[in-house]
Amino acid sequence: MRPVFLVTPALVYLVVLCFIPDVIMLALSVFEYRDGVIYPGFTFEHYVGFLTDSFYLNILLRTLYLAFGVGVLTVLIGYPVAYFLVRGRSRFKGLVLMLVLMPLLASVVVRTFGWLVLLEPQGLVNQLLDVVGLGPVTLIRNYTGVFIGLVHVYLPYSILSIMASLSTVHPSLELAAQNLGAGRVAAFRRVTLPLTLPGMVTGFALTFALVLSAYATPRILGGRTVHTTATQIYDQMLFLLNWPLAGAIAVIVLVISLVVLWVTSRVQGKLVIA
Amino acid sequence: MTVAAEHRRIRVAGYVSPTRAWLERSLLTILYRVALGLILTFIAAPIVVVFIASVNETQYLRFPPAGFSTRWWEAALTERWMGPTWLSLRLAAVTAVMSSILGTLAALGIYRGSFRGRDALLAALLSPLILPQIVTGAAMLQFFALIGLRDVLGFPALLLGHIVITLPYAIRTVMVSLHGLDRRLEWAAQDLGANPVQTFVRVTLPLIKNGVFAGAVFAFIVSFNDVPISLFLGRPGNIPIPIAILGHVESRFDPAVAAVAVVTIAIVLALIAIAERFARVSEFIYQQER
Repeated sequence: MRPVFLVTPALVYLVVLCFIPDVIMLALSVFEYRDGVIYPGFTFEHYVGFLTDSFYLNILLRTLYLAFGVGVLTVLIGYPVAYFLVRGRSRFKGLVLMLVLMPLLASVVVRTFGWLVLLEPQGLVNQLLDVVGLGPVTLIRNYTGVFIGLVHVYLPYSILSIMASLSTVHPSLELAAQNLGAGRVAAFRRVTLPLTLPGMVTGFALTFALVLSAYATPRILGGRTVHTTATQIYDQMLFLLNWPLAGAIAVIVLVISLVVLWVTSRVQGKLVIA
Repeated sequence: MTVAAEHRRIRVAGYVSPTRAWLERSLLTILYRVALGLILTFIAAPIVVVFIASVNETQYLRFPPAGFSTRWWEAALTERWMGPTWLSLRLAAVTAVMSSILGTLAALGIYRGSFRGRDALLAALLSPLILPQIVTGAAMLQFFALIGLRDVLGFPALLLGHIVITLPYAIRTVMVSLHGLDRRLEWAAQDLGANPVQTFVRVTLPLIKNGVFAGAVFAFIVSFNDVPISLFLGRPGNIPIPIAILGHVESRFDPAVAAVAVVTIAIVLALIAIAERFARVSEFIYQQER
């Protein structure tokens, strides 16, 4: 049997259940929508509406801002962990690796629920803040909670991206720099850090794209007050039943994530996927 | 040149005196360790508190814990929560089997093929990984509604959707194990008179077993934990456990959910432990994530 035929079942499956639905969604997003009924047509009003209406535009900008912040922070706090896991000589390395990978085995919903327990008005974090005199702070049903939760959810992706990059940089390079008189900080800042920039960029891009389509964390920790592009897709689909608008938002999210991942892939000369 | 001048010259090149270097090093080491400790606490905290909250006596978890209670577990181990858990378990199991079959065949075809557009084909097969999953889920709901198949919503639609997003994982793990396969073993089998099917079943499959198993385990976990696809394709009374939890905690705080969460974590860990007995799965899971 020719090998190409072995691919056919999987390919047909994806064409019918993934690619055709995507094309239908694209088509629906330019259909007309009046009084809860969808009419065939060709209009960009849903796109224009989403990108000009201040309510929707605000949601998009806030989501982009959130994605940027979460991306930067996961890289910043992911770096020391990745460095420890690649360069460290501690006997706890295996344990730490397990700790980093463990969250990937639990559902996003479970991890986010854990944050709900911690960030509740009467939860542990507020109890701790009370002790040090910072008083009760509202940490859920707002952007703060969503931000904390998202950083936690996507941190493993950044750590693994940076680890992959760091493991290609030979430790002797840093030692050579130190041997040539550079202090530890200088050797790290001027040798290792620039060489691991690709891993940091990958981690950031991946996180950025994933936050745009993150639903569970914004919904649980943000309640009904925080809207992101993903929660808007859901609300338009299932509450407001405005499928053309839902489709338009989905296409916008899709385009932004693809552009971010494509640019990253081009810069690095390899494919970046979750 | 005087010694002082020499020192000045060296300092320009980034030279640091031994005392300063020592101070710098110890301060940095302390800072680095404290930061590491804080970050690791951050990673572990939400999972650890779920375990504690599930046996904590009061509704809100405070320090020190109020006392031990099984009441949240009693609430969790009822039909209300175990129904969706059982649905998720069946869904993930069937998804894993289907994805592995389709994925193994596809990986073999891609790996062995030397046809034009092979790279493009592989990219197409892996594309569900790049497409935002919430977009895929929403698109599938529109698709089923438009072709008049609203009746498939529930288990059948969930299964169809979960296979879409888990297929790439199965393909990737099998591809990885095919890379390590010595083709001469297959040629030897065929030389000895085995037909292609016999060669596949008795030589190739046992050799790529680790990859196939790892792909299946991965598909199971992704399906079992999935939110964005299940969000759109379930129907009332026929929803997987992550969506049941999501719908519940959106509006209220209920520690019974902590016990349910522990059950779901235990199921995934048990699955990995069982799979590990048949194949070295954990190594693949680590590789896969990179």
